Amino acid sequence: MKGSTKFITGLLVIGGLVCVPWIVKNPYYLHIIIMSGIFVLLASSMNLITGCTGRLNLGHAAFYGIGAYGSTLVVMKLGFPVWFGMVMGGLITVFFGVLIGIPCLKLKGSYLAITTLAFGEITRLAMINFVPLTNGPLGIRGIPGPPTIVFGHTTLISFESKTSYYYLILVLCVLCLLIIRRVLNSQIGRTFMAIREDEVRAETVGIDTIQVKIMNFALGAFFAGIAGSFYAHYVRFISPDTFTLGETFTMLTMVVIGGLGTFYGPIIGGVIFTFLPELLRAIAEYRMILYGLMMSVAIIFMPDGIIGLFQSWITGRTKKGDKPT
Amino acid sequence: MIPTTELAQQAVNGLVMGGVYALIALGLTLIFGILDQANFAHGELYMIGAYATLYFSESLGGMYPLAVLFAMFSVALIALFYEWLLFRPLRGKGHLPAIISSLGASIFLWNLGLIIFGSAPRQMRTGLSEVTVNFWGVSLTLQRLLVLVVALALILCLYFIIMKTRMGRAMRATAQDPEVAALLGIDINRIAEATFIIGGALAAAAGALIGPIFLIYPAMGLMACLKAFVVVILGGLGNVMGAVIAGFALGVIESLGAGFIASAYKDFFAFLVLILVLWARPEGFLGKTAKKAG
Repeated sequence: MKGSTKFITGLLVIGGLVCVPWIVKNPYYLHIIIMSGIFVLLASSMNLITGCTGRLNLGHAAFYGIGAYGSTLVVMKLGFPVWFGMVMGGLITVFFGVLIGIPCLKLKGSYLAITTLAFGEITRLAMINFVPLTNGPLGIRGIPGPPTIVFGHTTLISFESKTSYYYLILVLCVLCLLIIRRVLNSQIGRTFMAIREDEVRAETVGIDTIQVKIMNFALGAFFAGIAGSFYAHYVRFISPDTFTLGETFTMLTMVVIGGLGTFYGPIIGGVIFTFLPELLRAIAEYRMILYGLMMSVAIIFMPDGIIGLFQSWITGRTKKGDKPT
Repeated sequence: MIPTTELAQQAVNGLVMGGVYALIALGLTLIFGILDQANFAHGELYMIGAYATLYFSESLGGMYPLAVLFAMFSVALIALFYEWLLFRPLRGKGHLPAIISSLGASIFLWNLGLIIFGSAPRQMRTGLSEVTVNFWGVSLTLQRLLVLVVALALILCLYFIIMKTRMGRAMRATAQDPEVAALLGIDINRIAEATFIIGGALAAAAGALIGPIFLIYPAMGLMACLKAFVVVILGGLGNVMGAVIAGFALGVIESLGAGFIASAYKDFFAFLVLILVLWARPEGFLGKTAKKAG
């Protein structure tokens, strides 16, 4: 019964999301909604690494950037079709994720945070300095969007309007989140959590922790790369300014405030923290101060984030209801 | 063939920078070694130290040495607040929560710095940068010489505190085994406070010393913190002598790399060293010889 209720709720939510472009006509609002889709992907993939396996990855913006640059270069320099480029964007990111993961995933938690922070900075410096490939700080303009989808002689979807991009990111989000959910509920997902809770014990029960951690890292990198390649073909302009450490901090804020290690936390965090800066335009310069403060306060006072608060509120209510008066 | 005087000049400049790296890294490695926590907001202590020195020396009418002392004192106080607010509630809850809470503090302070101090870089004048001394063809401004001398003096001071005082012995005991140390009547909270005070004062000294040589700006802490982590890893987590040697080594490597290969890739070298070390010898180059000396 519970499963079917969940299924129906899920269908209703997706149905509601499909209707969004009919309600929201303003292209500016639609743009923010599309961006929040990108950040839901980024936050969920970061949570896969940081929340579920407990390995803080501070180079997530680099993965996002490698996906964007990877896809763009595959399409613009090598002349491959956009859809192929987007998949390649994800795969190239996996390559770099594994490359950086192999030396430092063997080490204790703090090492990974430091090395990935350095990796993020190296990536940004590379984007700025490898001018022949990346066009340096000026960035790359005129990135093509996905080709028009034609069925017979009728045009089904042409990627001209924001609405079509909205549906594309919706499909990507639903697909990626379904995969993440499936992974988390499988045996592999449980080994992730076993490693987070006690790595030594996980090893003694026969889990190849290094292999699992690398796989987890690769998976997180893949979804971040996909988000990056979508961003490149949606905005059609990329530059090193988009993929900074500040962006990683924003993603971390989304994950921590939403709920570290929960499935819905990063989704809620991603949406809230994409809309919040738009609502708080007037105090834009105080944004990062606020984020830093919230991150510290949240990890100390509500380690399970908004989702944790919500859950304890629900259980508190049902407990009250269950008690005989 | 590279002229030896130029090589020596670059190496000495590197040693000056290395002294600063060592001072920042010492606090980090102490916190790592004694409390097993990573302080990602350590670079901000260095940044605040530099600004505090600037403002104190302006208000004291250019009394630079007094300003340095005041800055060290006030930053040590801020570090004490770090311990109370960010680290104590999360002690014993694994690495991740403390990293996130200190990262949040880092973002908070760095952006607060942007608003309070402004994003434009500031310059501190002490008059010591105009005087140059020469040794065997290597020229050094007095300020740079001062960095080296003060850094070495502070390092010796720290060594004395750790090796010869009662507090130092308690710190070493806590580093070896916090539970047994607590059992033997050592108050871990007092040790943690002392560790943060020492770390904060050293980071502030680094900022105060480097301020007159380079520009001061709110984001300076981030890169410094990252470099200090590289030093800590190179020297072996928690290894005080290791951090000192690795700090000077990183300064020299960077300076030579920037001087003879390409200055645009200066930061590249630091991170390249980090990744190579992690690959080849994750316990650091000096990790085994004197592990947990701090």
